[in-house]
Amino acid sequence: MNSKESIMGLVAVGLSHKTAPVEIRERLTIPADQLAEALDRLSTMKELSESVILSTCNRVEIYARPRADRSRALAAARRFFQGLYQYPGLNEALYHFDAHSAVEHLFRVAAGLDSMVVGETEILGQVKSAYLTSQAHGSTGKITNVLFQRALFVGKQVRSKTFISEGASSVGSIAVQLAEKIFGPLNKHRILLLGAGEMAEVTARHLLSQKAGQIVILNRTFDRAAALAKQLNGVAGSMDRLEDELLLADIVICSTSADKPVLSKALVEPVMKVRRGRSLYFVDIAVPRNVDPAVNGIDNVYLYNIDDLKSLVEENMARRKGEVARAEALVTGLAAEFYEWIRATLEGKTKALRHKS
Amino acid sequence: MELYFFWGAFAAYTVAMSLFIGYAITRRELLAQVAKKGLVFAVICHGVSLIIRTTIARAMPQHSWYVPWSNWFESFSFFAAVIVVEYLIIQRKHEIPILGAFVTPLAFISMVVAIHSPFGTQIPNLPPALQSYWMAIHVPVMFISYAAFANAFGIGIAYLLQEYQIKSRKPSHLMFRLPALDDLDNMIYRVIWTAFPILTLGVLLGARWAYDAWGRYWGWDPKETWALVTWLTYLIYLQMRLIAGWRGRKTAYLSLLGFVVVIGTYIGVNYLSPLHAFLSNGGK
Amino acid sequence: MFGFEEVLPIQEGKTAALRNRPTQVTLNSFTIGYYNSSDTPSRYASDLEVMEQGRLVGKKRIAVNDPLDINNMRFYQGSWGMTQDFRSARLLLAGREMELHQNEAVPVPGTPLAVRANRFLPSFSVDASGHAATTDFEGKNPALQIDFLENGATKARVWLLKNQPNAAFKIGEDGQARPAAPPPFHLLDVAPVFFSEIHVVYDPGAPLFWMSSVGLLIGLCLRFYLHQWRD
Repeated sequence: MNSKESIMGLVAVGLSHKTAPVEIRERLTIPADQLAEALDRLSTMKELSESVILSTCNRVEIYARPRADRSRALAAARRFFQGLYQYPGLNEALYHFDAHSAVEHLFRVAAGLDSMVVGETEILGQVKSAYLTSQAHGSTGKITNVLFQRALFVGKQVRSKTFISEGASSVGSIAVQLAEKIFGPLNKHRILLLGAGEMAEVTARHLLSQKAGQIVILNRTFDRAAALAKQLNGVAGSMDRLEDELLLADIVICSTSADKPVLSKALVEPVMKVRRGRSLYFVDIAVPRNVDPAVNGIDNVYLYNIDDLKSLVEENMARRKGEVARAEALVTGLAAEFYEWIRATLEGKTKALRHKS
Repeated sequence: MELYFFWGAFAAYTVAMSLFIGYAITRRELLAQVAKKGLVFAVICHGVSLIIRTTIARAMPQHSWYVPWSNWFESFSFFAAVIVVEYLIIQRKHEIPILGAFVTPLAFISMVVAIHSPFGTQIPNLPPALQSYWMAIHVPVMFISYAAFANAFGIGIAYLLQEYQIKSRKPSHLMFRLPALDDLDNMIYRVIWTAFPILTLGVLLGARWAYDAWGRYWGWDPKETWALVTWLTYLIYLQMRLIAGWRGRKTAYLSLLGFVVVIGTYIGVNYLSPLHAFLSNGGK
Repeated sequence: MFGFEEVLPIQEGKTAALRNRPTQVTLNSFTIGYYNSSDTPSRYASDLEVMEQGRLVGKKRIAVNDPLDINNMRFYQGSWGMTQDFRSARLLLAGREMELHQNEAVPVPGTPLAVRANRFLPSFSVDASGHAATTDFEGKNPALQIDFLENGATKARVWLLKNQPNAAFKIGEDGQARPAAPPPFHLLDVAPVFFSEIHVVYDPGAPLFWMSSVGLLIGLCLRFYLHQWRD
């Protein structure tokens, strides 16, 4: 047994969307209210001294410090997973990292490089929350504390130094970004929702999350409009209110199942006059389209259909992918730096760790 | 000696402009921050050069009314400084560094025009008509309004660029770096709205000066006439925006047109007006 | 706005009367300074006296940007020029300097001749009909006409140019000016008599104009300020 090695020891064991399908993952996910219990169970395992559980819908991972033998610690972690849900393919689905590569794996995860949508930002918050929970529970220790703090820093650095999380990655979020580029802050701008389908709802929620103003939902069947309005804290109406509402709303999400365009140039032009030229933004996510393309020709009217939005998202994703190599290089460098620092610290030498670059 | 400060200011304007354009292309925050500091440094240099120049000139005979905007070189140099000062003031309020890439080129061009003065860069001999305290009042007020219209022009270009991007349904990444349309439109409006009374005041001060110098307050001299056209253009802008409900592209075009008229009033007129040809006169 | 405007070109020492009012304006003297012996004027001013019905109502040295203001009547310095009269001239003749006054015959020592200068042109040139004329009144090419007399009869008539000592023009019997050989005498300096253009403006409506301008300005500010509030 190499005592130095064990002091520097660190293991990471888990599975992710890359190794297991969602049916398996959902069995292994640990919801937030059961995390404390899981951490207790981990702490009963003598082979592990410090531990953090990271559980999201796309991965379940344990980061831990072996008390003594590394291979024994790995076995213990595997046992933990089997305790969650034993199934034939489990061992193949579980991956493990140790020492340097465990650090690098965590950093990659925090940077969004291991996510389904490369560069996504949600994971950073999830890593933070996993760390805080484990820390509050008392499961973390000196090494895991600095490790996770550094991981959060790395996650931010990679996102600010590269374009890995630049650009909206979904139709809903890009539609909102466009709205913000037309109107600026959205809080005084009213949303009109035509149709009450799911896509429309998602987009509307995105807008509301950016603090857009009042939302009005019009649908052929009033009840569906009313139901959605209740959920979104808005107002419902029937389609005959269309022209009146066009005068008041600035952002119009079109998602009716009409087979011919509901909004024509002839309808929108006089509306713009009464609006005195205030900008009007149509998000036409219906197929077939709800808005006649000629409407885009009107001054101060902006029309984006589903294909436009999708191609923008694709551009963004391509750009993000293009940044992956740079981000990976950055992570590798930071992981190596951190690992050296840990080693130096444990050997009694102190080195400074850069907090800005 | 003061020319050293002038050249220092010119160099700093050039560097700042390049940095702003670089920032617009690469999105590196650092470039914008350095550019802004460069502009502040440039303005200070420029201010020092103007003070030194005034001190030297006032010691010369028959120069007791001298102000450092009395001929071609000096007025374009001063114009650049005022454009930058106003840009910095707008920045304090709105913090949108990318607009620097649209406004600093105007200051740069003004400096280049100053340097290429057909009449040299020395302190001019003031013709008797310019020996008056009105030079220190009427002219700066006009310049303050002109520089504001220059800023509005730059922001108008940014607006048109952004509007074109969004309208095209295939915006490039530049769109995400430029501010929102409504924000730009409002900025143009605020700048013009603030500058318009200043322009009015400047024209009235000019009339008062004319009354003291020539005995009439309005003579349809080309400069006076063009100044009136400028005034009317921006009046139409304000009218259209506030009352007729014009927004967006049309008003942006008006803002561009207005500045073109300003340039006409500033420069073009000097080749037409016998009374007001100060830019050509003072060079000897 | 309501009132009148007159332009009075007055020669130094003379008086002019307004048409619209019983007022007389006397130009006592006109002074002009130049930058560094170039021909760009640095300053020029007119010493005026204004009389109305025998009373002196105003006296001031006016200049551009500095008019004389008497009860809504304002006297402005307009343009200026040199007349064809002069107070004195200095010649270099036969090795000595001589001072001449207009139309005064001065004998040349050591010769039976006398010289008499009688005409001054501010910017000399020969016009299309061959006569001596002036292109403007600003003194770009000062020239003096000199008669050489012998026993009271004019023997020769010559034009000397101050700025070109080697040029001279001879006036022939036909009155035409022809270039002559470089003369042994030169025109050193001339003190011309000036005229000054006095603009007289009577504008009782002026304060009304200023008040309405200020009103316009305040109105503009208010109107847009109020709109801003409503925004």
